[in-house]
Amino acid sequence: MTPHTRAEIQRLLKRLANGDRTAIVPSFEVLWPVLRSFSARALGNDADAEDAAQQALMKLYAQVNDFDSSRDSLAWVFAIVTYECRTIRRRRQRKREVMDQGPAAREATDASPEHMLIERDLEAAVLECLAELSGDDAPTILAGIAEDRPRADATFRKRLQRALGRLRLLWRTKHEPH
Amino acid sequence: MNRTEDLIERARTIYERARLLKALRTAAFALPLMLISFGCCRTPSVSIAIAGALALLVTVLVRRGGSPARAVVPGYAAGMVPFAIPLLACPLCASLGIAGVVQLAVAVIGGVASGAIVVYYAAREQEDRTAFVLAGGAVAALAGSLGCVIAGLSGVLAMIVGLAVVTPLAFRGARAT
Repeated sequence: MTPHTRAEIQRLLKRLANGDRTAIVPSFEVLWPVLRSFSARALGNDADAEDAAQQALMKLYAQVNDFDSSRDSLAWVFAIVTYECRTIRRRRQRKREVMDQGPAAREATDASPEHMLIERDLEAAVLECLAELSGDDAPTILAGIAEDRPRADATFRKRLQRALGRLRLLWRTKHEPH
Repeated sequence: MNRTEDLIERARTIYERARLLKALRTAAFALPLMLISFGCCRTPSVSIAIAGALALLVTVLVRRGGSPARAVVPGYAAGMVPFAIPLLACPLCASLGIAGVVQLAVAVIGGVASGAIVVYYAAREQEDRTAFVLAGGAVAALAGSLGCVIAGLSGVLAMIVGLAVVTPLAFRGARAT
């Protein structure tokens, strides 16, 4: 970001804080690309970045009346967008945990387009892990999900448990590096 | 309406709503002043009318923004002098058996002090000082009236006269220096 843009943001936010409505459109034109690129870098996912940038923009206009013009405006803007990115990341993490808990918990969440997208991504990741499992592990897990074999079959239950353990390990290695 | 226009429109609505909320928050300060005025004065209806006018004026000024909006807090601060002096001095005067002219003099002194405070803040202002003085003076006059009402309508008028006389003189002096 150029020093000129930074000074422009400072000037526009000061005007907004003073109640100057003519600064709304120019401030949007300067702030939107900044918010958009910051959240894209922070979240990676385009849809999430768009959401975070929009939330941050709305919060910014709701709080700009109390903005202290002696403070650095860019630091203030980044504090807001960082908070929004963190909220979205936390929400995404919670959803992943709900998915891990099984179909009942999954049904409890709303089937919004965002949910469906996350669900599809997760499914693809699980299938990728299943493909990497060796031997009979993948067919055992799929049979367990489809309930092809009776639950009373102790040998199958043990084999399923071991296969799930290996899948969990592979998942952690691939998706939870720390 | 495309997405950008929609976002700008939403931002504008949120901004306006926040501006109005800020104005109402600032105007709410008239409520404790009115309650104190109730406790000391015999005419609650006058206190209600003055507090209502003060709240309305503050809401309009803060929502509109600019130099008059920045004058609201200094106006409140300036109004505290003519608000507090009569509330403290008049019961003392009554207990000492002094009334009439002394009460009016107290109100005038409050008005003069109030005008001086408004001008002091206006001198720091970079732009549109006249609007600042007018808005700050009006807020100070209404806030001060809530205290001066203890001395009756004449007390309120005496305070306003004090404020109206000193403010232009001090303002002219501040601009000259």
